Amino acid sequence: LVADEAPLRLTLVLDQSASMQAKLRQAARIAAGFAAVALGGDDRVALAVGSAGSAQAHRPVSGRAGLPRLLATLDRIAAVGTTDLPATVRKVMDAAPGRGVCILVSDLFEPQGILAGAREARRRGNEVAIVEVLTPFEIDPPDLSGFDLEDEETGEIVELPEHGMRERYLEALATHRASVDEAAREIGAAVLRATTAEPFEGIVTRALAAGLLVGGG
Amino acid sequence: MKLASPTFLYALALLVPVIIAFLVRRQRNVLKVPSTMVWRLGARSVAKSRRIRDVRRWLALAACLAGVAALALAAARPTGKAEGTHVFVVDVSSSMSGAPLEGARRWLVREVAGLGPDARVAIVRAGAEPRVTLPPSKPGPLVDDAIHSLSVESDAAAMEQAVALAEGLAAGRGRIVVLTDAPIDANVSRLDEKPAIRVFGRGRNDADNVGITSLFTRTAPDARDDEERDCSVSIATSSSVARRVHLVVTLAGRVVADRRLDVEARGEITEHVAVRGGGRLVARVSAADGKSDASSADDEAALSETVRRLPRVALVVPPAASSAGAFFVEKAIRAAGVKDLVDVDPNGQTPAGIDVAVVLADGPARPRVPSFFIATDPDEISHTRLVGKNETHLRSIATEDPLMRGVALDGVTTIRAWVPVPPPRAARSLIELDAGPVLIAGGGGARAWVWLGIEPEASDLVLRVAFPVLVANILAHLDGGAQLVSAKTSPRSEVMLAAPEVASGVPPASEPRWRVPAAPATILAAFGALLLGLEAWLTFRRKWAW
Repeated sequence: LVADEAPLRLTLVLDQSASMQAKLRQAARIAAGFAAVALGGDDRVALAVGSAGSAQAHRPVSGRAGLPRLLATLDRIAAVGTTDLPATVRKVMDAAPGRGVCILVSDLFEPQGILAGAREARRRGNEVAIVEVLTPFEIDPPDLSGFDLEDEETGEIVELPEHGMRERYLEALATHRASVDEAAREIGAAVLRATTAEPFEGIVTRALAAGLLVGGG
Repeated sequence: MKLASPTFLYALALLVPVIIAFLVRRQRNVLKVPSTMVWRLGARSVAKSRRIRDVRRWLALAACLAGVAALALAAARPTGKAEGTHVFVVDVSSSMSGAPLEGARRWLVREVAGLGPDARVAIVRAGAEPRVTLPPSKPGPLVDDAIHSLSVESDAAAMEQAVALAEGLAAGRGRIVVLTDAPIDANVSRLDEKPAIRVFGRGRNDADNVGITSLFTRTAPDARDDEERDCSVSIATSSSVARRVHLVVTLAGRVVADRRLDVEARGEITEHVAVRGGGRLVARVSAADGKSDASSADDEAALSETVRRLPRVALVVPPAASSAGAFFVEKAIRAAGVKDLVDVDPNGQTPAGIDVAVVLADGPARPRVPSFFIATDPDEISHTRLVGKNETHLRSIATEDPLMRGVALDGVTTIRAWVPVPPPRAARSLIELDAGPVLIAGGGGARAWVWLGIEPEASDLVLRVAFPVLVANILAHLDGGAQLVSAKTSPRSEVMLAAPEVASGVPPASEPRWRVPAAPATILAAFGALLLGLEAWLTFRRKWAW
């Protein structure tokens, strides 16, 4: 899929905030898939994982020999802290300056604003692609009317009304996603939506088919 | 703090079910989710953390408890003051008309509301004749009615008698507060503990007043016949600028004069109107220049005018004694409308058909008819004492007595006068000097008499406008029917809204530094209802779940 392309500089940014707890393994697999595809050619791959206050950037690797190191890194990450994708993007861009393709893998629940991390990557001159990873619970939840929800990431308590919360949630999720799509269009980014229930290879295949690895989608 | 209905404190038991309801409330399940970011968009409320949410709930409980407790306490009607006797002396003189009396009423309502249910309240009405409007009573409808029934009189306030009356009611154990519109002298009370005063003044724009200071009728000296009467109306203003007033005089409902008059700044004018016949004579004055008229109590005066026969008067004076006093007395008698005046020698013949005698020198020929004695020593006065100018300072005037209507004696100078020793019994004193009474009235019917101790030659009394009025009043009184009929009008000082100069005034009534705008019970009830209403609203928003 990438044989005819010029060497690619790929930056993978992985959201490891606490909200990614149930999605982190799937996100890591997707990132590993992208890395494997990219390192199969002449491409260089940089990896950054992080949350607020704990962003880590790893040196770019190239060639198949670099893949085990990336996989080992991905295998060690754990969900912690609050989401701060812009800081993670800045960290990796500072560590390995240059332009290329930046793929962000996250649930996109960013307190800094819709696609704040993607905007930061675009500002640094990268082509940006976004992979939204959610759990089936988050996409189609049961009716939790009357429950109090506690945010795993922030500890925030949200009191839900007694009735009709499922419909409200689905409406709110649709609104949120529409906002993401609009923001992505503004910065010329492709958005790929995935769930933890989906085989990761299928996701990678869809991403490649959508041209994510060549940027812009 | 005292409570009017402490039984209602049992309502505090309602706090128990509130607490139980809180403790057994339906607990909400808490579910952890990766992110509440999307959930928040459809949520009812958001708290930063569980701790803050719990604090909110405890605050809600506290609000409920405070609300119930406040309502229970409000029902028990807390009051802030201990019981006691409070006597309020309310000045109802004409100068209190309008804003001052309204202010006094409002103050009384607030004050009584704050005294507590066990206090005892009495109200003395300080008019020309002070009287107890409300005997010592507990706060309630009676007190409210008494306060609202207060109205001004067309007269001055006899404050000294009113305070004495209040002191009798307080019996040395209570508090006396005088509500008036001008400072009063500390000597108004003879007790060591003086009453307190609360002055209700007028605003700057409410100091302009016009009013009638005198209204009387008499037979004019130049009357064409006995039917023609001269109506004299005096109008004064307190304004610092000249005023234009509208005077309307009606007799038996018929307008006999409709005039517009100019009154100088702080001045007084007298207008004469010729009237004929009997009936109710009413004089009304109003501002005709668009400026304010502070008091309405002095805008109208009325008297009953009847057709009458002029008395035949004997002036008993030695024929050889030609004195200035006799001259002015005769002038005053004639000014009173008397046309049939007979000079009588006290040692000569007693004339027949005399109605009234004016006696400057007593003797056997003096007609035994109602008499006016001037500086002489009749049988009616047993002993008299001559006093000099050190003891002739004017002390008081019985302004409320009909004999003194229209008689203004401010600043009268007397060098020599006689005072009775001792003052005769069953007689009333009308004018008192420092040395004692100098104008006394006594007797009745054919034995009626009036005695004046001021020597005409030793006083400027006879030179004053008030003297003919006084003589006319006395002749009318002795004749049994007035030749001069005076209406009850506000004293000039009241119309002028003049505040007396007080050397040593009574202390002002103590006022709380901060007075709540409503009764404590009302505030507590409002507070409790607000808290409960707020909580109910929040609970309603949560679909009645905690």
